[in-house]
Amino acid sequence: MRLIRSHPALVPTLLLAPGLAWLGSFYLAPNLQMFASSFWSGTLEGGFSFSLSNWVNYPNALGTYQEQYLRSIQYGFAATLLCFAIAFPLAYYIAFKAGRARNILLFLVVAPFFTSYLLRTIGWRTILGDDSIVLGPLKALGLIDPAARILDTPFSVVAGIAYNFIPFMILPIYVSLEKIDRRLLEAAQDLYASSWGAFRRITLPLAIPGIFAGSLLTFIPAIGDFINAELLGNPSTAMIGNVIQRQFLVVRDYPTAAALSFMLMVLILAGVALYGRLLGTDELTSKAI
Amino acid sequence: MDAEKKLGAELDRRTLLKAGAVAGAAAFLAACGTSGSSTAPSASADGEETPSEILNFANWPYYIDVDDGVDTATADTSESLRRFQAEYGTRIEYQESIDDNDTFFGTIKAPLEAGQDPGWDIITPTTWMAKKIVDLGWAEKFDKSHMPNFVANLADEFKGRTADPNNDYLAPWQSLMTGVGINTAKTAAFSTVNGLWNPALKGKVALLTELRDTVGLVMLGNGDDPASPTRATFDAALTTLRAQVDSGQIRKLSGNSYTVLLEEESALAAIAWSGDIGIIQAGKPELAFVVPDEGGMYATDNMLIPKGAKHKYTAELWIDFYYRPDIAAIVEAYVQYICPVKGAADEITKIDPALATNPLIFPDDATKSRLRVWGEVAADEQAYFDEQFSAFVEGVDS
Repeated sequence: MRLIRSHPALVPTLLLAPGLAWLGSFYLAPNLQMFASSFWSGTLEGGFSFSLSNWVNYPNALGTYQEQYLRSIQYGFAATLLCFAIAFPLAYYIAFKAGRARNILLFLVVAPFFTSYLLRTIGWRTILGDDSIVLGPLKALGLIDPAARILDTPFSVVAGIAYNFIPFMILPIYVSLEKIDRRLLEAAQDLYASSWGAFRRITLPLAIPGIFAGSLLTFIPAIGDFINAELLGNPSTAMIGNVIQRQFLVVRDYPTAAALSFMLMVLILAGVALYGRLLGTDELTSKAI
Repeated sequence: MDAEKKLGAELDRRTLLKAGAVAGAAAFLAACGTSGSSTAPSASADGEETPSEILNFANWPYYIDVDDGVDTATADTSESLRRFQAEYGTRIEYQESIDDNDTFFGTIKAPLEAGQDPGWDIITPTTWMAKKIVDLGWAEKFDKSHMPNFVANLADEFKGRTADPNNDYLAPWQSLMTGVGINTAKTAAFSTVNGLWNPALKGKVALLTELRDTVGLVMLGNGDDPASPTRATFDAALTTLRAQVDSGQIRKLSGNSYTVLLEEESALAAIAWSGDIGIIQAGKPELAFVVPDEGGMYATDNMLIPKGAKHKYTAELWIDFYYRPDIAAIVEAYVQYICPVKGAADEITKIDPALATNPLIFPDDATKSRLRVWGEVAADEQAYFDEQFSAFVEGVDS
């Protein structure tokens, strides 16, 4: 205490210390370690050695796995769009129309999180199964080909990702919609704006920070996800997360795995920066947070 | 700077210690030879000569007896584990943690490499993986003075194996046949590997992510011999596999969880392990296990005590306990694989005479003659196989 009284300038540093220590130990240090191991060559049994000339690990890994990167971006993008299409109307309803049911609805959005991620995903195998409650009746009525399936296809993978991350889209959008000053909408109506006009000129622009935050919170984990492709996919739907997981744990080619992870991170950071630039970051991020 | 120096110094010391330990162990092994009985207590046993309170046991799914109506084995739901606890007071923390040899090895590799306790006292890798762990020096040597039943009852076929010539590190748990599992209610029965590629099964076939099982079986289907794999026969098998993935014939590549796919009927045929089908048959009698006409694969999973395990002595007690014929019979009657314990056949007749003639547990000579063990090859050749198979599993075009 005495230290703080005599040196008030220390306060911000002390407040930051736990966060910095956390970032340093669990973000910076592992990333440095990963970056270093991406310049290794060798095998687990024979030992690994570091050399800058191993930068070729990067182009090699990219050359081999570009298809999986591309697929991850596609699936992540599709899942984010799907999330947005479902989340925006829902968040709008909760924020503007739900009345007293609002808290219950918000609870329902978060409720699936009380179950394990794996179990929730495996649950979709039952729902989407070849003779399940979704496809079974359609097949019985002869409306679709008896051999048709949606489980273990790209569709089920994207649907699984969207399902698992949708609360991350709903909540930020809800927060930004809920904060909107209703008097602005009343004023718009007084000035003869149609309800669509008021939505387009007031609600939507003010919701953009929420959409920005929500789409990032959905897209970033979606692109690195491997559980959904593993459990709901087929041999041709492997995402880059599946490859990294296999390279680290099964093949134990750490240099390749590290190079792949690092490129994924750079890809995401670059994407986020570009996205922020497009939407005009500074103001947005401060509002979104 | 200082910290860096210190770290460097410590690393050096650690490397030295490690090197010293390896040299010491080598000297110890050389000194012991096969004469046996003059065993010094191992470092990690640490004078621990009483059974520990718990024992951490990692095993494959469906691989130990469980009570009727129960799905997962725990110290409370498995007769063999209960009996061990009654006799030694040790509660076995039993986990179905092994789905795939490589993946499981990935989870214990880091602590073993650092010389730390991997969290398991007993693991059950397949022989080729077990050999790799032993060769890396990451297995504890058995103190056989604690293991009279193991010494007396180990089936002869496991003596003098190249992976462990003196039975110092590996205690076979079960042997298994790899063949084809078929849902005969939903698809016509067949008895060949190539029957998996029947267009009627499009999108309904599941294969294992185990190289030796899947590639081995496909080699047999191609008329090649997996007991002596070559680049040419391996590549041919992989070409077959890739074509079947591209055509959509193969729905899933998975580890032991293929059993779930068969149960939920998203797969109607799969490359399967004999005992798994034996167990699922109880609830799904339409499932059949076939050793294909072209032949099937044969392998053994082995109990092994990882280096640095906390309860080595108790692990030895458990292994020895399992090698009592009456205990092995309890496990066998449930798991329905091929038992490595002499005398278990007589004990199993007491439980259920029908089991003693079950071809999954006691395959006849004609079946046995069609079984092949994957031939281990030179390291660089195996590296090529691993890399190619992994690329196939990851969906990378060759």
